[in-house]
Amino acid sequence: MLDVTIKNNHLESLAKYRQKLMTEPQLKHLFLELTLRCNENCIHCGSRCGEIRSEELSVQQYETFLKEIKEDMGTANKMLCITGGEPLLRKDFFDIMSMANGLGFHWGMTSNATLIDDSVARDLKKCGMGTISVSIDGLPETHDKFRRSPKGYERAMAGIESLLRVGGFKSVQVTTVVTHQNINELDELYKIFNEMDIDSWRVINIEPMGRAKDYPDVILTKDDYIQLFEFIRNMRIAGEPVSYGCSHYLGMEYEREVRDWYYLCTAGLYTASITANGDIIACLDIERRPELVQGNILKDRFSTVWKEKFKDFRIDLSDQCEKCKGCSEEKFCHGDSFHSWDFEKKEPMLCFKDILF
Amino acid sequence: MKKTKKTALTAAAFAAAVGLSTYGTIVSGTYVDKELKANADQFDNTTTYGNTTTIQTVYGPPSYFNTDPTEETEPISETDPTDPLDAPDPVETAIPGDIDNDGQIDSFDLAKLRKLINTEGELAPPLTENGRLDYDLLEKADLTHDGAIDNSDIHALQAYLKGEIKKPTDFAIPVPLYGPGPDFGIDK
Repeated sequence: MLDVTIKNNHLESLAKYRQKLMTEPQLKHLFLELTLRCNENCIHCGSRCGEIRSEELSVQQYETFLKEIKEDMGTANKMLCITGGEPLLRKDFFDIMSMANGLGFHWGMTSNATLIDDSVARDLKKCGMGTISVSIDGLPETHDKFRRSPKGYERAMAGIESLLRVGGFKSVQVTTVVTHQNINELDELYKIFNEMDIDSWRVINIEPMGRAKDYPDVILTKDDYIQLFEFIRNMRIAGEPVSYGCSHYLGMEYEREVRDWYYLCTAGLYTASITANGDIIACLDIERRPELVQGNILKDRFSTVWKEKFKDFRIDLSDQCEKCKGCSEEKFCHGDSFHSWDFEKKEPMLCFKDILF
Repeated sequence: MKKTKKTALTAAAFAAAVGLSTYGTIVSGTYVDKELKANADQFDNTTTYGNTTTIQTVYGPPSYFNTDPTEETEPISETDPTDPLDAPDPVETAIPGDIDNDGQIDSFDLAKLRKLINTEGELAPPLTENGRLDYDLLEKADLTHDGAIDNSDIHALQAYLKGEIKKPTDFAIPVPLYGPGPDFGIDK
């Protein structure tokens, strides 16, 4: 374990910095949910993609919106994070991203990669894609069952190989959502990924949200969580580019040890998102509730919304939570991540107190 | 999976935390020791943490932590000299783009940068006098902060010399938070 005194000092500083961000937010990550359509039907999907009809914005509407962003806020230090559904299902995908690239935006994408072959990979490179993260959620049988996608593993791995073969991207990452069913496959997955020229492997736990709420048996147990974080830490000790995601305060034992940064939920501070129908929200993973919609890009100027609204996200959630009161870690955790907040019970759906610390 | 300078530093930090003197291919006296000492000095000039300190602070936030502790970006311009976290850098800092190390950025740097990259656009690894990889030079040459020295860095330096951008690092890529992870594309 790394030095606790230093970690504590860093977290104290981060808490002060976060206070500053609440009054001076800096847009860095702008998520565009291009569609809710998906060619897979994952058990863990936070968006319940495939179950609902997807409204979609046109290329022209995205162009108008992105030109406004560029005009009002510039493109420097901002990243478009393209997601869905499966973004590549849009026939006009390359029109949208070529336009965004032409305006000067950096962009990356999350994808299941099942629609990527060498030709698509070359097109992605041509229209400026810098980074991509592809989901591999277990060994072949587990992956296909979890994503309810026959041959999904085979096609996703072929997509990754195309990306690596074409090359020229800043980074090709694999993301694995760890469940109670696949946690014992991590060592085997490592052997597979270690033979590939990927840049990093993001290993995250399934969240008790979206469709996963219907499948409680996939949620990790206490022992599973410890196994997960020990796995990531051991990978990093061995010098492997393995990391946990941005979610959740992990306590002194694991903060900074399983990722290169300290916990900070950036919803509304660094991060905003545009849903498939143009709604302006904070983070796409946060429960979709009408009162959390800050505006819509078809009728509101984004820069004004970013500056004047988002008040619900520039707060400490812990102020509303009885369970958080008296917790020694509240000053660093602030009620944990917005995406796992239970807005009815006003408490975190996943808190690592008594699990990790 | 690609191992980078960043992952090596992480491993070294853990190794130091458990008291190992060396780890993997990290060689004492090269980039790691130098960088770690520099960061320790910047972070806290007065406190001694023992043998592991210098590595711990590198593994923690960089010295410009107060700017943006979740990612590695440009140092901040606002500083509070009373705050040890914001203390002025006591160590001579490499100037991005100053490839020939003469304290200024000019066409000589561009020429030297070009020499590092062959006609295929590949890097000929620069070595120090003692035959080790010259991380200081790599650091200064990686103007796009993508962990690679390539034509994009030449392009950035050219643009700076032409006055098209204000800083040689103005083309440095931002760091996405999600999907592509926070350190995505930044192997620093």
